Amino acid sequence: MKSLIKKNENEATAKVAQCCAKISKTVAGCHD
Amino acid sequence: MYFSKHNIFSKIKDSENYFIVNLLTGNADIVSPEDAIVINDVKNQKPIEKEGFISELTEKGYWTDELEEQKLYKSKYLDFIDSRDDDEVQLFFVPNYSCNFACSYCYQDEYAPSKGTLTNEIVDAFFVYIQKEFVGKRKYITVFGGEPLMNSPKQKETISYLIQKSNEANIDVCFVTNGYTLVDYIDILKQGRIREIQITLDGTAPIHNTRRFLKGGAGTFDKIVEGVDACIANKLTVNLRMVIDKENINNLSDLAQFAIDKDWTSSNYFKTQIGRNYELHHCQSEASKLFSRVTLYEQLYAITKEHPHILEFYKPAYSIAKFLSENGSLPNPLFDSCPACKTEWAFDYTGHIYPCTATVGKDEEALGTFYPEISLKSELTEAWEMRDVVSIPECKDCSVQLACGGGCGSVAKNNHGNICSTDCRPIKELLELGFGAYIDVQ
Repeated sequence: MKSLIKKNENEATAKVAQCCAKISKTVAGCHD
Repeated sequence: MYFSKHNIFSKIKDSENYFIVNLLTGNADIVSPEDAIVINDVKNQKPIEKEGFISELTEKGYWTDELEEQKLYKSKYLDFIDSRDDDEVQLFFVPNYSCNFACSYCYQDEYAPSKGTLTNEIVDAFFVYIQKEFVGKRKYITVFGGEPLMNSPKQKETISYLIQKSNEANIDVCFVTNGYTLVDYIDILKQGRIREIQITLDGTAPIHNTRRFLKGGAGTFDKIVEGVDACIANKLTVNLRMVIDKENINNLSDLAQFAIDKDWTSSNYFKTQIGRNYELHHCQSEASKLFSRVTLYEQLYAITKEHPHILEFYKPAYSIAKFLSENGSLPNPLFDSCPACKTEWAFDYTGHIYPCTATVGKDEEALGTFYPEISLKSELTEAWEMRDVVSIPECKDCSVQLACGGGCGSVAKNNHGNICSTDCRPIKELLELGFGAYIDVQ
C-alpha cells in the first residue's frame, strides 16, 4: 500500500474540516 | 480485532488500483490489485499469508480493536463539538423575497407573498438580537433574497443602512445576488466590509439567458458580466456560481473559457462554485433534466478530462479527494454536515427566525421571531441542534458517515418527515472519481 498522507503535516491544515458549508461558499451548499 | 467500520475501500475510476481511506485515524492509501485481494480476505476474516500486511493495516487503523475504535470515535466527536463551538456563525438576512428575475428553476416560486416591507426599526432589532444572542461568537452576515439588490431608491437606502449597521458592529457582510444591478450598487457596497458577493451565471449568453431572465423574458447576461467586472475592478470578491443540470452542463467548458478570456480566473477577487439544480422543496416541471449527485460528478469527471481548461475555472471536490490531493492529509472527521442552528441561522424582514438558508421564508419552518417580540421554539431548535451522525440512527453503522456528515437536515426532513434522518451522500462513488481525477496512482 502507498500512503497518501504526508508526514509532519501542519496541524492547522489538518484541522480544516471539509464541511460543504466551509468551502468558499457565500450560501452554504449543504443542500445542493 | 476487526476490519474498521470506518474504512472506505473501493476501486479507483479508470485505474487497476484501489483506495482505502479511514477518516477516524486520518489514513489514506493507494492499494494495488494484489493487495486489494488481500484486503478483501482480511475483510472476510480469511487467514493472511502476506508478511507484515496485518501489522501495516493495524498501524493505520484499518484493522483495529473495536473497543479502542469506539474510544477514539468518542474522543474525536468531542473534539468536533469543541471545534464547532469556536466556528464562525453565518447569519442570513433576507430584506425581501421579491425578485426581478423569473428563473426557470426557482425554488422560491411557490412561497406565499410576504406582507410588509423592511424598516430601519426591523434592521435595528436584527442587530440588537444578533449582538445579544451571538455575543462573543465570530460571525458574519449574508444578505439573501429574493433579490436583495433591487434597483429602487428605497432598496438602496435599506441596503445602505444594513451596511452602515454592520460597519458599526464590525461584522463582515456577503451578498447573494443575481448580479443584474451590481453596477448601480458598487458605490454602496464599497462602503461596507464586504467579504464576497455570490453571483450566478448559468453559462455563456445564449444558455444563461434561456434560464435566468427578467420577469418579462429579457436576457440578463451582459449586465451581470458588467457587474462582475465592476466588482473585481473595485476589489470586491466575486464568488461565481453556475447552477447545473442536463440542459447547460455542456456549456461549462465555454463559460470557463469566457472567464479565462476575461482574466477573471487570474484575479485574487474571483472564485467559483457549482450548484446542482435539484428539487429542494417541490418538484420541478422537468425532473428528467436534473442530475443526481453521482451523475453530476461523473459528468464533471468526463468533461474536465475532455476540456482540462475547466479546472482553471472550477475544480470539483469529489468529497474529500481534492482536499487530500492538495494537502497530503485528510480533513477531520465530519460528524455533522448540517450547520442549521449550530453555525447558521436565518432571519427575514418579517421578523422571523429560521434554521438555515434552505428553510428561510417557509412559514412552517420558522423557529420564532426577533421582531416585534423575541421568541424561540426551544424544542424545535433543539431538534436541529442535536442532529448529527451520532443522533441519526441510520448513520450508526455507515462506513462513510465521517465524510458524509448526514447531509442536509432540510432535505432529510422533506424526504423522511423528520429532522433526525439522513440525506445520504454518495461518498464512495465520489471518491472513486476523485482518486481517478487527482491522485497519482502510478
